Amino acid sequence: MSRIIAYKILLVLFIGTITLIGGLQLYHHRHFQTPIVAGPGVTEVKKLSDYGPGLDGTITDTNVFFLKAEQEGGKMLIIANTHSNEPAALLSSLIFLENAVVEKGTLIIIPQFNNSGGRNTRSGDGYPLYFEIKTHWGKKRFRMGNRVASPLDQWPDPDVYVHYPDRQLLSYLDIRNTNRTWPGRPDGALMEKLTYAAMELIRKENVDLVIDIHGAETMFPVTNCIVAPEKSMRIATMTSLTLKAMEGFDNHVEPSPSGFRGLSHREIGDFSDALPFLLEAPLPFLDQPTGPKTEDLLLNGKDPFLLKLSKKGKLFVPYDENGWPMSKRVGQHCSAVLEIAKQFTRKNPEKALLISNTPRYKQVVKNGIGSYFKDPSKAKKENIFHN
Amino acid sequence: MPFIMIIYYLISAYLLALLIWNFIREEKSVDQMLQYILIMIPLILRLFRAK
Ligand SMILES: [Zn+2]
Repeated sequence: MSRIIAYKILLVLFIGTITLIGGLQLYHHRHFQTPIVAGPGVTEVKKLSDYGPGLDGTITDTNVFFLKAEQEGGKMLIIANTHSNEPAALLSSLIFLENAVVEKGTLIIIPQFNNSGGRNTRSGDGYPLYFEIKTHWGKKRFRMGNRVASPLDQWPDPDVYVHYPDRQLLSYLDIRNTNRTWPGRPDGALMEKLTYAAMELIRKENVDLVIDIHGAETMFPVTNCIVAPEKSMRIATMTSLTLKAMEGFDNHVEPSPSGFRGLSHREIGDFSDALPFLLEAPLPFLDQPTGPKTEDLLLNGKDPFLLKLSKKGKLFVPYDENGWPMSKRVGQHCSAVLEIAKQFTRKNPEKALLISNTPRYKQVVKNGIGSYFKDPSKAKKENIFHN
Repeated sequence: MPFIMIIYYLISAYLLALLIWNFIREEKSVDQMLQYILIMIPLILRLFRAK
């Protein structure tokens, strides 16, 4: 065997090994399942593909949990993981899913909305593939996803994304961003089908309130806030003022711009009778000028560079040595969701939505997020849903 | 599978064959060999439909 052939074989083996090591990690991440324990309030579990075409059998299809009270009332939909790299949303929705008891009305929860994005990562930014939340029975492990759906599931990207139906020109990447593809269409790209199915759910189930939970950079002005269109403004303002007065945290109101299309807080309101809200809590992990994107940064939000910027007044949220722990962000979301339901009930007593057995801000910060997660090994099999 | 995808798989296979052929023929440049292998990776993954 000539030297050159031996050299080539070695090269193939070397590259093959490196590819396999990296590839297997990504493969396991994409196929990793987290058990969700349906709590005492869950009455029915459906699939989003029950509401729109083109999702059935794809990795994009996702669970829809119904918590229906015996007494009729208002209906609220909580959407989490629209952006799967903003995991305070998923954790908040799971606190409701595993604990909430609905005494009047219906709560509908989609904890992993962009399921393709939740199985994607951002290798160029060195995202961790997983993060873990401490509980009294051990650590609960979650996939850390990406902002957009995986190109493995929706491909190819266009040069420019033309939004449907407004024909506004958006970045090519946003055709995989499920907060740009609302209201969607039944025969469009996969993410347009996903948002279309959610629109159909909202219309068919006559949902009154839709809350889309997110997280945003501390250097971005739209953070620590409730984004609301005109029709939701009154409830959003009352919620914001009450939270500040009663629970002591800031959550200002941002008006949803009517000229920027494809966003949930705009299109859901325009294409259904529901009142949309989008919740943002600070997420230092997403800021550009930070140290390495580690699990610790994700969970605790402590970063020396952001601290320096904060002292120079460059951040839009208060920031000190304590960072922005996940429990604070999740607690804010829990309180905001409960307060929106309360304010809606106050204005529409015939469509009351009464939710109990769910913690508010101070309790989540004090007890920790993990104390609200059930041990899957002790739960009944029929109550466990893997995704 | 839509017609356009069938064409896409055929193009992937064709490009892969060209790359393998060039890799075998390359006698001198290690840089070139390395590049051929790296470019092959996505095409192989696509043909094997590995996700
Ligand atoms: Zn977001």
